[in-house]
Amino acid sequence: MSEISRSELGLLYLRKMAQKHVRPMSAKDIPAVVEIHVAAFPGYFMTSLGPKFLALFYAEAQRSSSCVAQVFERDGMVRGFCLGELNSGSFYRRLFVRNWFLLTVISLMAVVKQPWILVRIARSLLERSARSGPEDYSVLGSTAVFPEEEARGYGLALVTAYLDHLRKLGVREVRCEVSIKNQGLIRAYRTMGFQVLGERRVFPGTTLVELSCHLRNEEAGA
Amino acid sequence: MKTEAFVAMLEDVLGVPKGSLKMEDGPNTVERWDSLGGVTILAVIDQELHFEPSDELVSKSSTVGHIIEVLKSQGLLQD
Repeated sequence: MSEISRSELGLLYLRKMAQKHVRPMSAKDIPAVVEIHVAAFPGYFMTSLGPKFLALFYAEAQRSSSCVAQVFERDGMVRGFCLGELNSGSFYRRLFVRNWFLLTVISLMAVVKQPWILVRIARSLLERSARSGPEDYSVLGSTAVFPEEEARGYGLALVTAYLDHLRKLGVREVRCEVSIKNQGLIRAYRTMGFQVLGERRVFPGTTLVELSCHLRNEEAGA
Repeated sequence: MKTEAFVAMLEDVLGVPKGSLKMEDGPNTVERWDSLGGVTILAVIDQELHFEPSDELVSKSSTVGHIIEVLKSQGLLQD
């Protein structure tokens, strides 16, 4: 079996998995999504803000028309989720404007418990304010599964469904960031059509690889 | 299908030398057995054995031995 046919076979199967198990996130999925986030992203900035913040964040994202939020369900249980913005930056601005008081309280409480978070908050705000407005590409922000269920393709099925959904909406480019340590995932993304744009060092010393995927409308036969 | 032939197929999928795959091998020991590698194994089982991987198989697909055990219990592999 050649390398190409092997990859193609895997991608075809991912689409089958996506069609069978991926569906839009609903409000009742939020507790499970928060649980998966905490398990999958220990020590990450958003996780350090606590489950209440995560519940608020994902509830806003699930309701937002500028986000695509999906879950992977198997045996009646949510096993993973993915979340992306249709236009980079638009959702976060709206999230902050609508919930500025609650977000400030949650952030202050987190800072009291873990002062180093202040650096992360300042850095995040600076990075976002440096952008003048929503960018013309979608950002796949989070894809997560329970750690004990990794390497089963659930995450890649979610990404496949996400890309298919964006194609239908006419979105032309998707970007995402992956830890440089996760070479297996970077390889999988490249097989799915992503290209490496560059690398970015983030606090506390993690390097992220920025990837981009240009989408073609398959129905148009482009 | 003979178990030996199935293991050879896994070796092909995972890009490892013939005869090198051991029963205890899994995502932690085989470089190409990442998410896409795991999905490709399921795809091959679906295509070659005409068996849609069950939840049991997906949840147990942590080593070569586990996969073979499940497929044998389904009568899909013979010694």
